[in-house]
Order: sequence, then structure tokens, then C-alpha cells
Amino acid sequence: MIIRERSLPTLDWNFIGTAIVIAAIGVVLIYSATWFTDPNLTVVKRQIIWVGIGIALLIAFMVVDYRILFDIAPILYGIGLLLLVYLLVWGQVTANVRSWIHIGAFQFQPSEFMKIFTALMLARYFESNDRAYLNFKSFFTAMAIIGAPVGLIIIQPDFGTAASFFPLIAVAMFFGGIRPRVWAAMILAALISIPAGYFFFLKPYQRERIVIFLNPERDPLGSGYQVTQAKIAIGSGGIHGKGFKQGTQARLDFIPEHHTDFIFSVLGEEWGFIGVVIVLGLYLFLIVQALTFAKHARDRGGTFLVICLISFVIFHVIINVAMQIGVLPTTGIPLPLISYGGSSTLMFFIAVGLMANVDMRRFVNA
Amino acid sequence: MTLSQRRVLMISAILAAWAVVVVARLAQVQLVRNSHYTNRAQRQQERTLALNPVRGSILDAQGRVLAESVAGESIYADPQSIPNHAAVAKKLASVRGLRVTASEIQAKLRSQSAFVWIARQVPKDVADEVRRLGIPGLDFIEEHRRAYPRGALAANVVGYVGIDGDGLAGIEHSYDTHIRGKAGKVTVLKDARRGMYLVGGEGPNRPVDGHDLVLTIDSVVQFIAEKALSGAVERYRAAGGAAIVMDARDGAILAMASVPTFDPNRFSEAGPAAWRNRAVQDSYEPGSTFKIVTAAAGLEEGIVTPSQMLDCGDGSIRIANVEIREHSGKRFQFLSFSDVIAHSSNVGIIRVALSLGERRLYDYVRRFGFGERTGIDLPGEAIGLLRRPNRWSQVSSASISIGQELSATPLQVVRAMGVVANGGVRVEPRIVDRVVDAEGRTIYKPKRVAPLRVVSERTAAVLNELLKGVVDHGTGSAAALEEHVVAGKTGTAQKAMRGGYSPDRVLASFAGYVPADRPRLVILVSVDEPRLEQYGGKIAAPAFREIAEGTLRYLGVAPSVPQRSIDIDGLALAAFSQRPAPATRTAVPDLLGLDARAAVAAATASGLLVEAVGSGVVKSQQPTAGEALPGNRRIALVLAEAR
Repeated sequence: MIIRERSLPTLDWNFIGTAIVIAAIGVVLIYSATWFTDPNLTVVKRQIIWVGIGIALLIAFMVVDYRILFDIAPILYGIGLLLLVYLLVWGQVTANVRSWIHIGAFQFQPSEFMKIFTALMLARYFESNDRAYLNFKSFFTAMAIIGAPVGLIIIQPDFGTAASFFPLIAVAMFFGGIRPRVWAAMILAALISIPAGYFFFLKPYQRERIVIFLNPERDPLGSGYQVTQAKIAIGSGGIHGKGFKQGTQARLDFIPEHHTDFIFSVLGEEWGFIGVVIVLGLYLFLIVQALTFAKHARDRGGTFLVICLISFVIFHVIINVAMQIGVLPTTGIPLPLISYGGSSTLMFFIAVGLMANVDMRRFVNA
Repeated sequence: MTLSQRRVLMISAILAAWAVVVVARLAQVQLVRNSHYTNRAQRQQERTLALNPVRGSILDAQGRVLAESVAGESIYADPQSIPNHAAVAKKLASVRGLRVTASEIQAKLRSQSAFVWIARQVPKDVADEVRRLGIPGLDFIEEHRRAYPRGALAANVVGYVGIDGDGLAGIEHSYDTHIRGKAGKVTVLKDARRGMYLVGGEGPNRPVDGHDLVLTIDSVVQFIAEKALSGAVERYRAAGGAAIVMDARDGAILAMASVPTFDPNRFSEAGPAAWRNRAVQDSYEPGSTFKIVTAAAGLEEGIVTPSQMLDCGDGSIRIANVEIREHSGKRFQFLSFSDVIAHSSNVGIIRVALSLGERRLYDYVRRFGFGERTGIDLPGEAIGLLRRPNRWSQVSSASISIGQELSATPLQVVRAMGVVANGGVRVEPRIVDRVVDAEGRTIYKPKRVAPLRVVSERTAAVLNELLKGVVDHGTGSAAALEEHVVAGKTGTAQKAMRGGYSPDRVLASFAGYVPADRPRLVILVSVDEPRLEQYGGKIAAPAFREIAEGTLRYLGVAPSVPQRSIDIDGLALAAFSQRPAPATRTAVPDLLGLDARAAVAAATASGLLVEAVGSGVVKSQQPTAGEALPGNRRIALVLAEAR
């Protein structure tokens, strides 16, 4: 038994299957959200292509031993940083933000892939740093690894994506280990800096988002519009939902970004409470599986890699769902594997592939 | 358990807690508040639009359009989606056809509502002009506009339509249900950009267009009547007036004019005074025109004959301590009953009324239609005032007999005059001929009331002679026509005021019919509060003449006073009834070669009475031309056929 398990890498089909099912649900929802306004179905067709490429990348990043990736992590990380710098200097401004690289008809966001590279880099660092608690030097090294891309992304300026690096910081501190007294100091600092940041650093439109999050009906036609409309969509779905292609809120364009950041409201409207719970269940299954992988990983680097990657998924799901039901303010955070978008779809498939990679090699000595 | 494992467990716990919160929240939104959000979704996505039917046209008897619906567009806005109100207001104000000012638009845009009208029912080209401005947040909807191509013509009859398509006055109001059609309904889906998507199609809820209405009004006659009436009103600086032309034979109203009037295309610029249709909505004391009723009653009951002499009491009569005088201080001693009518003697007619008694007088007043609506298809018809005899004072029957102490609409007076014109039969006036559909098929025809005999044919014939006398040699001479004999009655009613009668406010009227012996038209003209003159004979009779002359010519009615040949007895009768005018010449005119009518006219102009024999043209006259006027003022003519 043991020998066989050692000799044959075991693949967790449930894990990969769940990811692919989620992506398939995403394709169906995107179709449902766009067939009316996009009769040529270009959006859905593109997403299908992205999912295909994503599955290919998943396999690629699963097959190559993750420790080899650790070896080349600095190179990948370096290329990522260069791309970000390139964007800042020569990048085209799209929607006020320099975050897209255009290659032919396609475009991608280096910042999405930078999440993977940063996670690899961070995991590689913790592989070699196995103390129970971080000391000052290692803490700042970890923060620097995360801080470099985040800084470049903030300058773009794409706060949503920059914020999505936050789970790495949490992982670094929580799993890297920080003493309770440091936690206390940091919470204190946060309590002071949040109001200070609100008044001194946030731009007026960002402040407005928070105010409107607290009271969305205050401006139902302005910034609170999205949240209000998303809530109407989800709320009107009821238990069973309105059915496939029957979601009028999305079809009539009341929900902006209904195939990207607000795809969850299409799910809520068409598939109802039952559909939402099923999809959340799939995510939860994926997360719990990943946490098991982390627990059983062969080395500290593997554990950290899985934790870093799943933390992205957790973060995106939590924030995205929360903002649609009015629990958190709106940010540009897509729903993993479901929201339309090449870069984020590929990124999550790679992440799934890497997590399976770690799980596959938990008993392998090499 | 390693440190890492403990930490993984902690993460799992946090995740579980989060999942509980999210699912609880989802349950709240989707399960508990489901109907709330469903309603909100429906409210913002669905809109039920009323599909307005096209309102039917109103046509005159000859098919000429008096009112029609023309294609137009209305413009509305969502103020919230217009960023710069001031700039948009300025742009819109620059479009002339909209007739709005920038400040008006800004006031509208200040509304909190997501829907305000910018302009209603503007012509297509104006809407296109606005469309070309490309202002976001503006939208257009087809809405028909009511147009009255003939402007003020028959405005008080036709009425007008409010901005929401409701007939508010006149025929537009009374026949609203026939001409408005039925609105359709359609549910559309609205998207967030306020685009509309039809879902159900029009289906069974299609609007049904209104039917067309054909009136008895003839635009030409209407024009003639309005021109004559407004001429009289202006000439005597009167407060207003009414004129009615009715077809004597079937009660069809050919014209109904009211002054002041208005342009229904811009009705809101006028006021209630101009909107009134005085011909049916105002009632007044008819005064002397009413004497035909008393006269008819007296004749029918055999109380009086035309030649009977009546004691006119030297200008006054005293009844129960109330002294009633003749108009303008006239003093008659004895007058034949026909002269009582011709000279409109109050005392004379009161004598007849006193002989009749209250009950019989009241019966005839009712039979002539007073105190009872005509039931014409016009809104707001007044009923007039007529008390029952048990509420009469001692002086009431005397007052009523001369047209006081009761009130009537001009239309009621026309109906009463129509009784005499029709040989004693009462015909109800009517103004709507029929309702037709788009293919011209008759959908509805108003019911006609069966004619009612009021007095005998003989009484009517005698009355006819008396009324001819009014025009021929009485107070109504200004109504006389050259080609037709006119019968009618003047009226000069002092207007009742609190506590009595106004000394200087009168209502001058003339009601009559023509041609007297074969009536085609019953015509009434009433002029309210003329300022330069008071008498109906002076003010209203010339307007009557103008209307009668123009209308008869338009209708092609052959002259009824013979021009070429004349029946000897008829001529004699007609000739002797002509009262000689004051002599203006001293020599006998040359009448040789003239036809009978021209000869009589010329002789009369010279103050001569004609005795004639034969028919055709004058062959000889006695005395001959150039002689001094004879003492007996008579001239004998011999007529023969011209060939």
C-alpha cells in the first residue's frame, strides 16, 4: 500500500473536477447573462476558450514538480515585476488604469499572474525559514516580496487587484507566525490608521463607496446603484430562481458588469437560493480539500504554497459574495472561475493545478 | 497537532463562520424578503403603456373637417439622467416650435420624479428638430394632437380637447365616448437605459380608433351667421350674442354662433366666458319674441282674431297695483290684434293673456317647449325658468305673456318660432346627424323625437300673417329681404337684476323664419347688452337679414317673391299688405316694363299702394309717369306677359 502510494503520484480527481464544474457553471451563467445584449455570443465563446486554456495550464502546472517551480520562482517573479514596470512606462490606459497588456485580439493582466509568482516566491522563502515565529528580518523580507508587486499595482492604479494580495500578507503573518504581542500592536495600529487612512489617503470616490456601502439606498441611482440592483436581482430569485435565461435584471442591463464582477447576482436571480447554496458548497468543498492538502503536504514549502493559493480563492469568494449581498463595499474582485475574464480564469486554473501538484507529491521523495 | 495544523483548523472555523453569515444573509434576501425584491424588480422593469387611440374627426354636414387628429409627438425627460439642466434648458428653449422658455424647462427638470413632460403633442418636424439636438435623457412618444383647421369656426359648438385627450367642452365632450375610441394597453420591459422592449405584442389590447362625427352644421352657413353676429356685436359694442340657423323642416341646426368665441387650437388662452355656448347655455328673458306664444294661444282658443280691435289703454295697464307700460313710452288707443303684434304692444297682448287665464297660458307656454330642454346633443344646456301657475303672483300671467318672469335659451326660442314656421308642429332641434366609422358606414344615429302638434294649422297660418306684418310694416322691418317674405318677431328684453329690471341693460333679439310661406330657415339673433342702441328691430333684425339672405342664396332657394310673373290675387294681397313708406317723391314713377315685384317695390318706395291686374310685366299704369302723386296714394297697374 505504502509502496504503491509512494511510487504512483495520486491525483485528487474530486478537487480538479470541482474546479472544472465551477468553471462550467460560470460559462452557463455568462451565457445567460449576455445572450440578450450580445447575440453573437462572443463573450461566452471567449470564456470557453479561456477555460480550455486554463485546463491546459492546470495540467502543465500540475505535471511539473512544484519544487522545480520553487527553483525558478525568482525568475518568474522577476519577469512579473518587469512586466508591471513595463506597464507603468508604456502601458495603455484602459478605464483609467494601466493594467492590461494587449497581444493581438487578447489582452491580459500581468497583475493576475503576479499573484501566482508572488505566492511561489513567498512559499519558497518560508520553505527555508522554519521558525515557529517570524523575526524582524524574516517578517520584512516576506513583506518586501509581497510589497514590491503591490506597490507597482497601486501605482497603476488598480486598488482592487492590489487589495487581493492582502491574503498573502495574512498568510505570511498568520502561518509564518507572529507573536501575540505583535498582533496586539498591529490591531492597535489598524484601529488608528483606518480612520486616518479614510480621511487622508482615500480618494473621494473611494470614501463614497464606503459610505454607500453603509447605506446603499442613499444614492440608488449613483454609486449605490450596483449594490441595490444586485440585491434586487438576488432577492427576486427566491428559492428556485427564475430559471435559465429568465433573469430579467441582468438581461435588461440593470446590473452593471453582470457577466464579470456581478455574475453572482445572475446566479442568485436565475438559480435562486438553492443554486447559490450549491455553488457556495462547491467552493467550500474546494477550500476544505485545499486545506487538507496543506495539512498533508510533504514539506513546509508545499503547505505554504497551497495556503497562499487557496487564500486567494477564499478572499475572492468572500469579498465578491459579500459585496453583492451588501455585506461589504463594492470592489473589482471577480468570482473565482465563474466571472468572465481571461487573466483571472487562467490564474485560478493555475492555482488549482499547483494545489493538486502539492497534493499529488505529498508522499513522493525526489 | 502541529502549529500549522492548528492554524488550518482556525482558518476552517473562520470560513465556517463566514459561510453561516453569508447563507443567513442570502436566506434573508432571497427567502424572507423575496416578494419585496420581486416587486421592486417588476416596478423597475415593467411598464404598462396606454396605447392611445386616434380620436375621430368632427365633420360638418358637407363633410368639411371641423376637428381632426393629426400625428404629433410628445417629449419627456428623466431629469436625473440629464447632467447639465441649465445647458439642456437653453438648448430646448432655442427650438421655436416648442414654445417654452429655458426657465420653464429648468423648473420642470427640478422635479424628483424620473418622468417629466417637456412638451406635449408637438408637430413631427419640431420633434425631429429636438431629436437632432441629441440630448441624452430625452425621449419621444407618439401622441396625436387635436387640430381645428377652421380655427374659431363653430368653436362654441365643437368645443375642445384637453391635453390628455378628454373632450372638455362642446360636441367633443358630449360625444366623447363615440369619438375618443378605446385605449389599448401593452406591457413592455424596460431596461436600465430606459429602452423599451415589447413583450406581448399588441394582441387583444390594441387601441380602437374613435368614430367620426357628422354634424348638421354647415360651415358656410356657420360662417355667415358668425360674421353677421360678430358684426352686430361689434357695431353696437355689445357684451356678446348668439345666433342660430335651423332648418325649419327637420330641426337640423345649420349654424350656431356665440360671441365672444375662441380658437380651440389654443383654447387655454381664452376663458370660460369665451368657451360658453350662449345659444344653449345661457337663458334670458325672451321679451317680446315670446308674444308669439300668447298670440298663438289666443288665436287657438278663439279669444282673439287678427282684425279684432283691442283697447290698448293709452299706453299702460294696471294689474294689482303694478303698472305695465308700452316699450319706449308709446301710447296706443285701439289696435287691431294684428297691429298689436306688428307694433309689439304690451298692453294689447296682456289683454289676450288676461282673457286666457293662467292655466291655459301656462299650458301653451309648456307646449311651445318652454321650461323644457331641447335635449340637443350639447353639454350644459340650460332649462330656463318657468314657474308653475300655483307659484304665480297676480301679475305673473301678464308678465309672462310679454316674455318676462320666465327665461329661455336662444335655442328654446328658435324651437318655439319653428312651431309657427311648421304650421303648428314642434320639431326638436338637432345638431349631430350621425356617427360613422372609418369606411363611412353609419354606426349610430341620434334618435329623433316625433313632431308634436302645438296649435292648429289654421292658427299657425294666421300667426304667419301676423309675423309677416311685423317685418312688413312693424318693428321688424329691418329684417325684410328683397327676394323673400320674412316673418318674425322682435324682442327687446330688459335684463332682470336683483330687485327689478335694469334700465339700460337689454337683450335685443329677432327671431323669425323665411321664406314666410314655405319656410326653409328659422333664424334667431340675440345681442346681449348693446351699448349704442337698444331695440331688437334695429340691432338684431339687420343681422337676421344678413344671415337669411346669405344662407338662402348659398342654399340656392329660388326667390319666393315672384319676379317675372305674378298671380293676380296673390299680388294684390301682397301689395296691399305693403304699408306705404313716407313719401319721398312728388311725382309718379315710371313703372312700365317692370316685373310685378320691381314695380311694387318702386311704387312703395314712392309711397304708393298698388292695385294690379294680370301677370307678367307692367303694360300700363294709372296715373302715368311724371304726374303728381295722387291724393289717395294709389296706383293701378295692368300687367301682361312680356311676349
